[in-house]
Amino acid sequence: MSEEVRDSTEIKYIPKDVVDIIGEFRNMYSKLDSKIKQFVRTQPTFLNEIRQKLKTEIGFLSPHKKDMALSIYGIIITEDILKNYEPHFFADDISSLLNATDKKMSCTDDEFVGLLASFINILKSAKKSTEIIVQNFVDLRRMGIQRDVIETTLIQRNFSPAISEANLHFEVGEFEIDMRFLSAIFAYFIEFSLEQSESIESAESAGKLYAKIISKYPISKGEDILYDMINIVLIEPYLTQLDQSLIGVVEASPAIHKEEIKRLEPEEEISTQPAFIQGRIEKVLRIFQDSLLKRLKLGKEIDESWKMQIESNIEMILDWKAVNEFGKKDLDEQQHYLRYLFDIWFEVFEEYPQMSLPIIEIEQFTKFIDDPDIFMEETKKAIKHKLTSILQEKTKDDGFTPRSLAVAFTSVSFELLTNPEVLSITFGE
Amino acid sequence: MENENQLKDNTLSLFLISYPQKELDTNTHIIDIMGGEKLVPDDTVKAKREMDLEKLNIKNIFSETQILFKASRYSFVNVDKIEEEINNKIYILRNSVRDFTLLNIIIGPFVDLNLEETNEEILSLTQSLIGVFRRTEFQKETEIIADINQKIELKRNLEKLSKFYNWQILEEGSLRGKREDSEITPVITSAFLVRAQIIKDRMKCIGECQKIYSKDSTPEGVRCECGGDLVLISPDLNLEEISFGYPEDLVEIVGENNVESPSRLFKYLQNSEIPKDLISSISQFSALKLQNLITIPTKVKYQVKATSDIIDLTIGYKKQESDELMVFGFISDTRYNDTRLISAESLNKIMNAIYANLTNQTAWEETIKKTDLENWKVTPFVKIKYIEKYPSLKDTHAIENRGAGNE
Repeated sequence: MSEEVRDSTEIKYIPKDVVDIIGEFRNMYSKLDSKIKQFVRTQPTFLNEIRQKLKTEIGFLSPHKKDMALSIYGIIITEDILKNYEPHFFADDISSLLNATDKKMSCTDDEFVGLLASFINILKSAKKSTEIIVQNFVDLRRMGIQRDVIETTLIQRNFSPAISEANLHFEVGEFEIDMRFLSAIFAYFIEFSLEQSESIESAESAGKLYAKIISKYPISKGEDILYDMINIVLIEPYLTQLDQSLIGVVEASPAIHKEEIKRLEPEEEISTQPAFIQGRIEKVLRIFQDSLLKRLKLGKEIDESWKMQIESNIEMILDWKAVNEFGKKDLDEQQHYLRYLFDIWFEVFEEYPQMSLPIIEIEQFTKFIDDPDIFMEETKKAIKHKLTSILQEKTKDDGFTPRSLAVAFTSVSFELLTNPEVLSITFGE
Repeated sequence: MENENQLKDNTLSLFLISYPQKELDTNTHIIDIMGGEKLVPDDTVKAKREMDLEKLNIKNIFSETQILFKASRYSFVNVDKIEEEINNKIYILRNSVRDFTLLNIIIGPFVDLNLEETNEEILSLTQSLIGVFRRTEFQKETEIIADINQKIELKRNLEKLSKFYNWQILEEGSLRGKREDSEITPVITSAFLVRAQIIKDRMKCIGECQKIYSKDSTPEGVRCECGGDLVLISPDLNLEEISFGYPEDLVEIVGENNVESPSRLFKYLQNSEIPKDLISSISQFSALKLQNLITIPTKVKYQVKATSDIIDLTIGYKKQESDELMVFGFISDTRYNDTRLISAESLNKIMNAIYANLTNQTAWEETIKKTDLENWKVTPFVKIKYIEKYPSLKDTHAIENRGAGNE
C-alpha cells in the first residue's frame, strides 16, 4: 500500500480543544466591539448602502443593533471570513440566529456582541470543518467501503464531532442554541460546495435552510439527537449529490492526485485547497510554537532543519494561495504574494504577539503590552509598512517571489526568535 | 481478505433493544441479527431466531442495581475435553439509559475484542438510538407517525448502526487489540475460588412452556409434557463452594461501610453469568455447536452508577476432577487508592502463578501467599447456598469454625 492512503481510523474530524474555543471566543469578543465602532466610523457609505439594500430584511432589529449587525457583515466581507456572502443571506442568517438562541430579541447589546462573536467563529469553523469532511468522504469512497458504513462513519466520526464543536462556540459565550441552526450552517456550506461544482444552481442561505429543517426535524436540543438529525438533514438530502459531484476526484487514484497537487493544476485543486492551505499555516504555527517552547523554556538553539521547514512551507502556501485566487502560480503582480505573506504573518502575531515586538516603535511599547490584540488591529498598516521595508531589504534584486519571500520571512523570523526582547515576554497561558 | 471473510462467516452478532411503550405499559423489543451464511442461512431462519429472542425479557437480563454490568468476555469450555482450546469467544455488552436498554452479544473466533473501546462504541450507539427514539416519540405524540413506524425506524437505524459496529470489529479491526486500560489503574481488593460442578445432558422445551429438564427428569421420547419439542441445550455450571482472599487491613483501607459482604462479592460473579434463557436461545444457532460447551466469564466490567468508577473481574479456571472445575478470580476497583493495596497491573503475573500452583482447593491459601498477596487473609470454603448468612468476610472464619455454614 502506498503511503498516501490513510488508515480508515484516521479519517475522522478532530474537534478543537475547548480551551482553544474559549480563547477564540474571548479574542473575537474583545475585538468585536472596537471593530464595530471603527467600522461605523470609517465606513458610513458602505453601511448606508447595505442598510438600504436590507431595509425590510433586518427591520426587526433596533437601529443600534442594526448598525452593529451591518458592521459585522462589513467585517465578514472585508476580512474575507466568507467569500461571496450575499447581504440578504446575512440578513436571513442573523434573523434565524436570534430565533435559534434562548435570548431571542431580548438580548442586551453586550449579549448581541457575544452572539455575533460566536456567529463569526462558527462561520469560520463550520466552513473549515465542511471542507475537511468532504475530503474525508472522498478518501472513504476511494477505500471502497460500503455506502451504509460510509454514511455512518461520516455521521459518527465527522459531522457529530464537528457539530458538537460548533455548539461549543455558542456554549462558551453562554448561549443555548438550537442544534438545527448549527446543522443549517453545515447544510449551507455543503450547498455552497455543490454550487461551486455546478451540481446545484444556487445555495440557499443558512437562515432559509434552518426554516426548512425545522419543518422536517422536530427536536432542537440534546447531543443525543446528533446522529438522527445529521442523518435526516445532512446525509439523506445531500450525500448522493455530493457523491456525484466528486466522482472525478474520487476516481483519481491518491497517487495521481498527489502528483496533480505538485503540478498545481487548478481544476482539480479548488475543492481541497482551502483546507490544505489552512493545514500548512497550522503546521508553520506549530513549528513556531515548538521553537518558542525550545527557546523560551529549554534555552535550546534553533537549527538549520527548522529554517528549511519554515521556508518550504511558506513557499508552498504562497504558491497555493496564488492558484486558489488566480488559477496559476507565477503571478506578474508580485504584491499579491506580499499580501498572502502578511495574512500568515498576522496569524503568527495573533498567536504569538511577542514576535512583533522588535518591529514596533519603542514609545508604543506600553500600549502594546496592555493589549497586543487591539494594538495590532490599530497599527496593522504601520506594521505592514515596516515589514515591507524589511522584506525589500532582504529580497533585494529578487523581487517578491514565493521563494524570495519565504527565505526573507524565515530569516526575519529567525532573527526574532533569537531576539532577547522576544524571548523575555510571555502572553496568555 | 480470506481471513476477513472467514471471520465474517464465523461470527454472529446480535443486537437487542428494549424500550417502554407507554400506552400499553409494556416493553417493545427489537432484534437485529448479523451472521455468516452457515449461522444465518436465509431470511426465514433469521426471522425465526429473531422471534425466539424477542421472547426474552431483555430489560431484566443483567438487571441494574447501583453497580451496572457493562461488558464481559467468556471462554467456551468443552465439558468432555476441558483442556481443549476453543477458538470462539463470546462477548456481551450492555447499556441502559433510563428505560432504554441495548444489549449486544457477539460470538466469533477472535480473542481480542477490546472491552473498553467497544463499551465506548456501545454508549455512542445507545445515544444515537435514543435520539431516534426521542424524535419518533415526539412524532407519535403529535400524531405524525404511528407506533409501528417508530418500531420500523428504530429497526432500520439499529441495522445501519450495527453494520458500522460490526464493520469496526470484523473489517476495520479498530475495536480489537490494544491494551484495555481504564483511565485510572484499579487496585486489587479481593480474590475468590469457587468449586463448581458441571451439569450436562439437559433438555429444553421449545414449545409453549419453555421448561428445562435435567438428565434425570427428562420425559420419555422427544416431546415435553406440554407437547412441545425437546432439544438438547448447553451444559451448565453449578457453583457450590466459595472461599475469598482479602488484604488483612481491608476494613481500615476502604472504611467499614464500604467493605463488601461475601454475598455481595459473590454477586459480581453471579451477575456475570449468561442467563440460561439467553444461552439456550443462542444455542438455537446450531452451526455454533454449543451443545457440549459451557461458558465461563474471563473478564467482566461493572460500573459504579454514582461515580462511574470501574470494578473489574479477572477470572481463570482449572479442571479438578471429572465433572468439577475450580474457578478463581480477582476483583479490582478504581474507587480505592492506598499503597497497601496491590495495583491491578500485577494481575497477569498473579493469575499465572495461581494457574501454575493451584493443584486442588486445599492448596488455595498456600498458592495465594506465594504471590505478591502474601499478607492476605483467606477465608474457609463456605457453601454458596448459605452465603447470605455471613455479614462480613471476617464472619466466615468465626461462623465456619462453629459449623454454621454446614447443612
